[in-house]
Amino acid sequence: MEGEQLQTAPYNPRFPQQNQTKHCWANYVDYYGCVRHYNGDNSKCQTFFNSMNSLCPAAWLSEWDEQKAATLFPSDRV
Amino acid sequence: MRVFLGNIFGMDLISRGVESTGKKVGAEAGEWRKNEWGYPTATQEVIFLANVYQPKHVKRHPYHIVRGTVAPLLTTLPLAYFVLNYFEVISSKIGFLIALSSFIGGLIIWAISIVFDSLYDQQHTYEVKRGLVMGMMMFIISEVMFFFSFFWSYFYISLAPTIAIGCVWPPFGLTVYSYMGLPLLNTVLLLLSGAILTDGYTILTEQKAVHENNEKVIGVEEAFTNLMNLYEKKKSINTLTFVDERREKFNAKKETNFEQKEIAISAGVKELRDLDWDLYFFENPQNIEPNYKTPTDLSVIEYALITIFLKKRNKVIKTRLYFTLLCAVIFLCCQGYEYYFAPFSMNDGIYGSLFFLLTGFHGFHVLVGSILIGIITIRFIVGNFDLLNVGTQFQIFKNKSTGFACTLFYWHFVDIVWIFLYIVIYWWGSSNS
Repeated sequence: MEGEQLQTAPYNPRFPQQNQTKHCWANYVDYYGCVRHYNGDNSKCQTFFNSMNSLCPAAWLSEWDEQKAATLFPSDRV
Repeated sequence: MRVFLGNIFGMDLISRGVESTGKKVGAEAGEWRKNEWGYPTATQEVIFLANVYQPKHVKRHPYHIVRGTVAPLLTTLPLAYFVLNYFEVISSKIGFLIALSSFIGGLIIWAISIVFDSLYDQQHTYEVKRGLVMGMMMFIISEVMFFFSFFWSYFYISLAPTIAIGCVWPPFGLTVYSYMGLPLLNTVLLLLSGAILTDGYTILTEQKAVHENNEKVIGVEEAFTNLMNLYEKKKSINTLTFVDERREKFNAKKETNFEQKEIAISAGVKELRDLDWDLYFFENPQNIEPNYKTPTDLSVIEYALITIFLKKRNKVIKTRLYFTLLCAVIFLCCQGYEYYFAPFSMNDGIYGSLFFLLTGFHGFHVLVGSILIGIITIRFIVGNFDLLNVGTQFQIFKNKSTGFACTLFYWHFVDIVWIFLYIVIYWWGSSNS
């Protein structure tokens, strides 16, 4: 526990605003795009995964997962 | 019937001059003019009648003091009823029908009474017309602001789309209308109808000659000048000398005028003494046409020929109006078709909400504009713009074109809003790249 370093999502110049909603959303989309790109191997997509989990409320993630399961999520990259 | 209508419209028949300045009285008034005044019969008649029947209420200004009428109440009380009915404070089918018919009837009575003010009362002087046009302009400016707010909301939503619609515009997965289909036809229809209506207006105001069956239908002024040259060669009428004659007559009678003026403004404001209000009484002198004539000054042949010219001209204008109405109806049908088969609805997302809000309000304005054009068309059919039916106080070279002009402004406003809608919603808003 002592050696572990706590870290949130790094600064992204695409989302300079205080409102990080779209930053969260882009990481979610990019994570699943990355997983699809590497044919289900999520080991190389941990940056997106960590950023997504630290930025997005858990309720949003579960809601989007439900939408994705029902093919209702509004993005063509997932 | 006249009395009944007069009571309904809340107007005084005496000063309207429908009954009291008919054929019999009109001839007498003409004689009276020769003896007393060098001024148009219409003006004299009104002054005469005002002096006889309303000696304490002589009009000392060019403005229109409207009379009491029930039309505003008939129109606005149903509006309050509609609100109560919408929130189900009151719910009665019969009451709704009564309110609706009262609303429509009030609007009709209001429109007719305005036309009567113009035609029979001759209350629409230069100043009043200026006020009417300015009022229409202010109304159109407020309409521009109305649509500006909706365009604002559209850009607010579409320039930075939220995550809920996939951060893209139009929203992800939504099928929207292409700009090449019906919307393009609608654009052509509206622009064409606006051009045709403008053409009709230029013919009405005699900025342009009319051609029909390879034959030139000349304007009334030109026709009248030709007739005057034909029938009164001896006088060899020059418009300037005509005006000079009128001015001389007027100046010769200025002293008697001055006495009447003193009497009339004795209770009025001091500054009115310095105003040349005898000329200012009914028309701005700048607006008096050189060939100002009344029907009593015409021979029968001149009268008939001018009527024929007017009817020919009005027939040409009527075709323009019919064409514009046809375009408006086709436009509304196309919009209805588009709405009926739309792949999105008003309550399924932000795109549908904005689309139906903007195009729906625009379609409603097209409907109102076509109702206005319909009123103008009915006025042409009834013959408000023909010489014979305009009454005793007709001025030949004064076109009653203010209503037409206001309708034209409104129609062009609707056109321009559609152009913005077409560019923003159908063209820019449908490109998904």
